[in-house]
Amino acid sequence: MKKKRLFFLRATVLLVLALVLTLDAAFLLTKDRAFSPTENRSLQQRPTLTLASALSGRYEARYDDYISDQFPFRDGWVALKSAMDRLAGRTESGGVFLGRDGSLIQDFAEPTGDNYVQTLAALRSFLTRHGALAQYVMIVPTALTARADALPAFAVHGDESGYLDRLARDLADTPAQWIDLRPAFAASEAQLYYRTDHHWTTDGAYIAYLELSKAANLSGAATAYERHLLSNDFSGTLTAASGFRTGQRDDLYAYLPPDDGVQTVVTYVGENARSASLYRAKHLDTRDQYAVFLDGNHPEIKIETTVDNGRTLLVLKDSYANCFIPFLTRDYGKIIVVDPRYFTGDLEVLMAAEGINETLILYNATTLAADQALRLDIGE
Amino acid sequence: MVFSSLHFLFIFLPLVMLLHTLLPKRLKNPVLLAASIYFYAWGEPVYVGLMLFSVAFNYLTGLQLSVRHRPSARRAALVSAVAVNLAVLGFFKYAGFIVDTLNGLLGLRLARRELPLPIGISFYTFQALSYVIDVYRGKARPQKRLVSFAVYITMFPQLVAGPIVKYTDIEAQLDDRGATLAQVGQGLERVILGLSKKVLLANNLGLLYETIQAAPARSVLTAWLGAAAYALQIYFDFSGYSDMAIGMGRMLGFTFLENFDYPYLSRSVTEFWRRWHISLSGWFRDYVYIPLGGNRVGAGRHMLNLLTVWLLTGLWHGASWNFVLWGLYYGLLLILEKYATGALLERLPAWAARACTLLLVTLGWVIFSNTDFSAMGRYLGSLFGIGSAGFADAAFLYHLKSNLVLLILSIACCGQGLRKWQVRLSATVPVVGLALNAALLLACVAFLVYGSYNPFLYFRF
Repeated sequence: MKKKRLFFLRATVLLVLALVLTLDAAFLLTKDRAFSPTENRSLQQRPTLTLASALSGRYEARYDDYISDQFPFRDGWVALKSAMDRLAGRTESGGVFLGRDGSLIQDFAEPTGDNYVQTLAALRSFLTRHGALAQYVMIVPTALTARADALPAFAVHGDESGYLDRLARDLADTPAQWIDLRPAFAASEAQLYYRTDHHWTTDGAYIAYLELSKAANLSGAATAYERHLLSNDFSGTLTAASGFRTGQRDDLYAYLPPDDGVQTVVTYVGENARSASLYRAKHLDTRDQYAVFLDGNHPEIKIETTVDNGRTLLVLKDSYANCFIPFLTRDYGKIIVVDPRYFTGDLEVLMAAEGINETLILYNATTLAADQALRLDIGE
Repeated sequence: MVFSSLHFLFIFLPLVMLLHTLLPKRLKNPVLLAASIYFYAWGEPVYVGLMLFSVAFNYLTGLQLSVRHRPSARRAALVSAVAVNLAVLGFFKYAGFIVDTLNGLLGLRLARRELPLPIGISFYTFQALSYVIDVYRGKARPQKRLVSFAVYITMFPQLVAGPIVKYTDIEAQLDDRGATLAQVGQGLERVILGLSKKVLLANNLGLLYETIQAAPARSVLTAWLGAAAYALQIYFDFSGYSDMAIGMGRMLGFTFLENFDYPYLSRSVTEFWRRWHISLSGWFRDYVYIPLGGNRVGAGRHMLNLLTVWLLTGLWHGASWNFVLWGLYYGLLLILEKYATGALLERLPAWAARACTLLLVTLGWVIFSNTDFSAMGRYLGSLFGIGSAGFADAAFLYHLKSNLVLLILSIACCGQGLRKWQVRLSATVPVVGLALNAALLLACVAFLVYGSYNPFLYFRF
């Protein structure tokens, strides 16, 4: 027994030494990476030593980051940690739940401070000011609400549904129509959200389009779309945010309209770029495949169609609208899409210049609850 | 530098160990000293000066005591040394606290200087004091070699979080030491154990406690779960650090005394403090409690001695009133055990005595962990149903379910069984023992790498 213990102790030294030397050698021999696609961020490079940075401790902090960021087999270690977490029964990481069916569901963060009050005041002011226009407010519940049945047992999460109820109540006396998607989503059998991403699927957006059609008198189900698979290996932001490696991939669809002769021209106003397509296929080769819709987020997009009915729509939106807006091209002659998070112009001037006669505010609940940009554009 | 970092584990430690092992005896101390200063300077470059001042000052005091023979001269040297050490500690650790308290009490508006606390100052100051006092008492011979003395104060394994090593315990090893391959293996085994406690248990328990602590309201059961998580976290965090220190000391050829002895198995608070942070309670016993007269005085004086020692012990843990309260809480508990409840406790069955002790210690940790008194009040209240969100809630079940494996493992590690099994395993089927240690080490690396996993969440923008 004593001999075996002695063997064990000596072997421990050799084993640890071998492990350390192997990893150190791999560290020295592999080239430093500049960017981590998994995490979507630049990795720390070897910092340069200066007297000032060393005395302030900044050099040391960066050097420690450098070692961690460039540690060999980094993604493998992250996957190992995530696997151990799952074995140990952990179902939440980085504000993301691992659902019972393996789908990832983002938690809802209640608005903090006076964020709710300020955004509400700006919304009320805007909707009242433009009372003469037809206005629609569509705040989309995220998977947290619509797929509550998939959450892990007893999950403690933010009250998104309560937030939507409160907002609907507080906007009830404005001239805008509130569109509640929850009943339609609850009734649907379709996969409304990506399993690896926080966005809704085009299927979800289509159901929302049918709901908006009822309220705004759009063509709705009268247009026969063809559901077209764009990608079957989409791994979205929630995979990155949580670190959970579920091995799941999502399908990404576009709903293509029938060949009805309607032409569209998309103008990315800030960039001075024009396109005949509502899609940008090059994004399907990147990690952020959702950006295939309307080329991701832009401050202002102008969509002109050959539909000649005099209807001109302003959409104030977050990224949920990107896969939704293509449905509107059979209903409006002109759509002005503004993303207040990037838009720096004067909204009132823009609305007057473009002859807007309808508005749609389209956000998902999580983004709107945290948003601080919309109120700057629409407040008094 | 912290032990639980990839930089320390994969670059610093292997390099230092290789150099220290391969270089001839006369170069071991210079290498260890240089490494320790580098270790301290990493992230704390400015305060290296303060630490080196402490080294030089106490070294000179030791020399002075060795040449002075008149009692009054020796006493003067001691008093001035103690005063300088305590003044430095007081200035850097307690100045802000004292100013805040004076301002609060007297309505003054003294300016507060925000100085970051020099890491490890409480530990190395106490080590220096133990040296000076022991030399004064004739229990230790003054160290003539500056480098050897500097190694004693600055040695990186115990520099930032103890144990507080008494000079007399390692006096001989400072100038003559070595480690066999098997001893290095023993040290490594201990380092892996400590690292696992810190990274796999304590850090994750900390996340659980933070979540529960941050909630605006919690049910009674959730509050107890949080308190238990904190009690486990602080034990594995601290004893994990001590394990690593003892293990690294072993690899270098030092034998540090044990600092924790399964404290949560204690049957009384008195016993708990014999088994928790042993080097600190030992320090206060030798240098404060016994000089005050210890228990060889009248009951009244004895109680005062206990309260004094525990007030100071509380303050040592941090410059904030909750630590004072925490210290006095233990002072009172120890007085009660000595004069009233101790006999009762002895008659209880072992499990009941353990449960009582654990309960009192857990409540103590709630005081310890809340520097803000209103938050402390809210938390203590919610433990007993005052202002709590009911008795049980979904959050309790969710946290319990998500952390069940962690909690079971942690509780199991509070006893001696698992560790004994691990040692027996290594001596009967060494290959399995090796595999277990390798698995623990790999798991720690995965958690450490994950610690820097920081995805840029582009959907926020």
